Amino acid sequence: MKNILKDKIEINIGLQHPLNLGPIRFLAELDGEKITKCSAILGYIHRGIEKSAQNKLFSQYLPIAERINPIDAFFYSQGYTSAVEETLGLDIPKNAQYIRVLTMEMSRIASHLLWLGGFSEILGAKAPIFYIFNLRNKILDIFKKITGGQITHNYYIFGGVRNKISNDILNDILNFNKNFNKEFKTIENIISNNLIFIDRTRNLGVITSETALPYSITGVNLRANGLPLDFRKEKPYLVYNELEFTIPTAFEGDCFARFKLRIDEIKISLNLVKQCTEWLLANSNGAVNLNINQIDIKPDAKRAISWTESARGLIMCHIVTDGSEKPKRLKWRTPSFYTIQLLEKIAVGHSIADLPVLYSSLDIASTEADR
Amino acid sequence: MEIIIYFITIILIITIAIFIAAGLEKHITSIFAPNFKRKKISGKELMQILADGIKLLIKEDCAPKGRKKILFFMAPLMVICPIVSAFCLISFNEFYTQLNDAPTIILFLAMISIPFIGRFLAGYSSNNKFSLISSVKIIIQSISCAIPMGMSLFAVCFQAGTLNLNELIQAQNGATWLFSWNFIPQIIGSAVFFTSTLILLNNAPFNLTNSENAPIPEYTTEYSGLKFAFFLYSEYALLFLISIFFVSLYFGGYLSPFGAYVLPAFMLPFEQFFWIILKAFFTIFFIILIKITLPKVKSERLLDFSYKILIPLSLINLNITILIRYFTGAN
Repeated sequence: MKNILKDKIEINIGLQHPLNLGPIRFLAELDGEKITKCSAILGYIHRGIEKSAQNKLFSQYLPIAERINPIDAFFYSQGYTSAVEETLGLDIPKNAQYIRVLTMEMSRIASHLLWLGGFSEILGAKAPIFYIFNLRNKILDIFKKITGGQITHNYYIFGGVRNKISNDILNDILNFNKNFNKEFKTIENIISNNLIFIDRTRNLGVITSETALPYSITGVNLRANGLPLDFRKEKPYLVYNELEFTIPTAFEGDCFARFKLRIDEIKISLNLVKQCTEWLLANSNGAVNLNINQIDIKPDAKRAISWTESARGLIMCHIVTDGSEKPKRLKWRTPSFYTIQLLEKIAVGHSIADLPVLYSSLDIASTEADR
Repeated sequence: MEIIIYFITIILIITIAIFIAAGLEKHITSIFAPNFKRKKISGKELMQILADGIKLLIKEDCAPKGRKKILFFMAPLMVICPIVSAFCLISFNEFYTQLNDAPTIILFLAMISIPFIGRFLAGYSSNNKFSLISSVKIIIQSISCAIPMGMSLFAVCFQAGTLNLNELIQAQNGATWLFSWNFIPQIIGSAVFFTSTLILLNNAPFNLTNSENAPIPEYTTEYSGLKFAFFLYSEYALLFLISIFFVSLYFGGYLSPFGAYVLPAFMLPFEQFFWIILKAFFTIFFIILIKITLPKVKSERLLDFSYKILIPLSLINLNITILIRYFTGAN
């Protein structure tokens, strides 16, 4: 306390902090108000998800994969199931592929909406989050109708998806799609036309592609620097090559660019949802899974990698099988783990009041980073 | 004896006003949460606020080990005492003439700048890094709100030719009803004054002392029990006080907006009291509305805003007022 004006002070942010989606701790060294060093300390929500795969049947691991990050549940299901399907050499039916794309894109919208609510809350605006959650709840209700669960679904199985989506629900989705823009426009205007919001986010936490690439950043955080790297276009999986969509990019690389980009992504995803729903309404008779026994799965000794472009970036699942009924080794690449390392670098030089904004703008989920 | 009765009355008025203000804040916040909208403020809900107060009174008083003892004890008192005593300078009706010869506006300005020192000391003395960062930000707030507030206030005083609040309200009593109030000639001044009250009240968008997303101001982190209740009480009391002062300066204080008074003559003190309270709650309503809606600014931005926009505007306003006063031949 004595030399507090001369010395640097160290403060802890976290472990439990309202800005966090999960437990994560920041140790920031302050010179006055400026951050001179910032380190993120992980390990508080480590559940041994990779190791636990080795002791479980392939189908027993299905619900666990979702729990790496429940906000992105569908993406992790897709990552795991498609990796196992590759070792089995399965080609899943067209209807199942469309349903997977449909649910994943809706999940992407829900994830970005959750992010937007949290971001405006962190900047001090208390009202928008309630309106955004109203909108997000509509998506979760549709998930509940399709899968039975709002957050974790256990819907994707090896060889397709668990059950069909009825035409009623598909019409619900079309209705939702039609009304979404009108409601979303007001929320977007409240936030993006606010002078204080623009002032606090513009030119803050600028990431260039030179700094982002060595840290292997993917997703929106990379695309905000002008690199249109999206694995839906780069290495199309499922039916993404049959759908029409563009990859939006921004060039500033600051928090405001990331905000704008996520708004754009929501609109692109809405269009994708519409295309999928229309296709499914036209071809509602096809099978949605291969009807294989989920428990009795024994792939040959093989290794397979799957990639999925989640709301936060690239998810990869590397699986090694040895002919038994359990995987020999399973490794996840989760986007937030890499983003946290970048945050440590770009936080230096900013004031302490900006650290939560930076943290939130990168859309880090600590459950995902820790596994 | 009279002083004691007056003091007790003031305390009662403040407490009831705090009840209503806190209830109003809850209600307005609920309007912004469409999922959880309440229909109206119930009596039970107001009792909840009372229960909170009682709970804080009977709570154990904890204090950190390395605190600066005297300052730590003094800080809450330095926040609450000036605010409560500043209520004595307010004219709730025209019959309160004891302070008619005193320059009450100057006194008032002095009174409302003392809580800043109390808040700063609270953060400084509690041996906590978070509190210290917060208390530095209180200094930023105080230096950015004091000058524009004073300048716009003196413009009103120049216009009315008095430093007494009661006389200033009487000077607004004109033939054109509410259009003779000060907010029309002093439109820039009133806007600047209102903006600086937001800084003074630690309200959004200028609530620097709150940590990002923490529900309590950081400088009170180490306080508990009655001392914390003092901070909480003073926050709402200041909100009420500033609102009354604001409407006294610019919106005619206890004057009726219709020119003539509605009730019979013997009810005049109560009617005037009603008008000033009603106007004050309109102001509180807008302040709470701003509190919920706007995101908050950074500390350097607040200094920018104060020194590049508020102070020049208030000086321009002051100069215009003085020039008009000079050429129209004032007393």
